[in-house]
Amino acid sequence: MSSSLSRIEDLPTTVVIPSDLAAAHEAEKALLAEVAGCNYSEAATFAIKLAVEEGMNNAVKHGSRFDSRKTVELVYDISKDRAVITITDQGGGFDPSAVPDPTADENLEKPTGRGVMLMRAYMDEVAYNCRGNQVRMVKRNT
Amino acid sequence: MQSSGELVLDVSRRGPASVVRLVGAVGMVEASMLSRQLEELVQQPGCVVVLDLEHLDFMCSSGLGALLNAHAKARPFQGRLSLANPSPMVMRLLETTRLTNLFEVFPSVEKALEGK
Repeated sequence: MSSSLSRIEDLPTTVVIPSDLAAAHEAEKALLAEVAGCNYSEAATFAIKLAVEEGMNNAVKHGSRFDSRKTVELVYDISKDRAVITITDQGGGFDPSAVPDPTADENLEKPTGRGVMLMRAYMDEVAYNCRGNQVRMVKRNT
Repeated sequence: MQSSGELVLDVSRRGPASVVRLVGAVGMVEASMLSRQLEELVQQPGCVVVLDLEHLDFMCSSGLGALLNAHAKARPFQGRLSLANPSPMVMRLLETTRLTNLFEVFPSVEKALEGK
């Protein structure tokens, strides 16, 4: 009985939201509440919040182009050991390797284009699917 | 004082300068309010705007975008936008993005107002 209950508790949480920033923010708050319950360090919590914020922002702005008829799916599995987060949008995807380096001198003053770099800098693993409309990120609680 | 989502902005005058105290977090929801507020302040000849970041817990790339928009808008007015008191987390963000090469970062509001 306890083992089957444990399996249910370990299932990832799936949230599907309309593609707008307010809905994305609400979904993010629920995820961060789980992180807060798992004793992550301040730095790891900041990293997770930043990566989710960037991923959801990219999904709503670039993936769905603010079309609230489209949806964004947020799947997360937060344990005491690691946080695994997957964000999928209904857009056509993009090539993350083609994003210009925002830390290059010529791009430093551009107001956008830092999201992918920040996810990579703050998370332990970041991987996109082939289409480029889904990102999976992992942060270990070390 | 203005607030949006998890951010409170408090603007005060220090002689010819404006000090903007940011309390809370600048995420994707709050960044537009910050951008609007800064745009108003920097589009005046010779403006000096200091952002007091002591109580800012979080900023995402949209918040950085708001700072960069203000930086660009201040330039034709020979204005200056500087940062004071960032937390270690926010300082790391500025360093990771190399925006410490663009913005002057001071250990206190007073130092930022003096420009040294």
